[in-house]
Amino acid sequence: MIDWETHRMSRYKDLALRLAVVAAFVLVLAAPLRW
Amino acid sequence: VLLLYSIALGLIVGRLSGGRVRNLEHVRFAWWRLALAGLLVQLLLFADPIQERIGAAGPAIYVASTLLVMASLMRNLRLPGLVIVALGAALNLVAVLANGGYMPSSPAAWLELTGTAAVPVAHYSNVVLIGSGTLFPFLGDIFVFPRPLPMATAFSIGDVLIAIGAVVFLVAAMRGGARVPPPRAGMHTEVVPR
Repeated sequence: MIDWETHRMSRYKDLALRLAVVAAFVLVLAAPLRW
Repeated sequence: VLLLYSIALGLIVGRLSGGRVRNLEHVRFAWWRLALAGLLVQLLLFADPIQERIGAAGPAIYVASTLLVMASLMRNLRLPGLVIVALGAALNLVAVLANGGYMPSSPAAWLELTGTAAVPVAHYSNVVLIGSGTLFPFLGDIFVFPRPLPMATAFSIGDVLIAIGAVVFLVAAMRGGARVPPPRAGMHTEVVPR
């Protein structure tokens, strides 16, 4: 039986990780962290 | 924080052009842990308790963490838009490295933003005002966003390229254009039993 809750959590994790990598590329390299 | 606008814009344009956020799940980033490590170091570096105490180590930690993210980016140049991001990042990096680990920033830009020609920070900052000894001042933060925008700050030519590249990447990835290409015909011959 497929555990849909775990399946959905894993997909959100995949998406969140990828958005975090894009955020790292944009935030660190464009450095809006400089004030 | 300002560049978060480009991520939001990319997600909106991607959606409006028929893309799906869930397609981002299929993007394969190489060396992604390196990028997240660099981001984490900088989030810590610019957190108040550390920013107050970091002193002379600040620029070295800033440059090292930026190089971690740059290395990760360079491993992913085959993905759409990331060449543009890399070009912008390289321009920013030239300005930062040429000026001892600090991004040159235009006093006029800060005057327009805050009413004072100074960087509004008391402790470690990775920004230095453009002066007579600044190298590559045109690569520094010389533009400002129109004032009504929240989180307004000064930004550079490199930042503009990074923002454009991020939008291109997100739109392409949401439309399914950032998947790993399938192996070329002939490279793998699968024998399917009947």
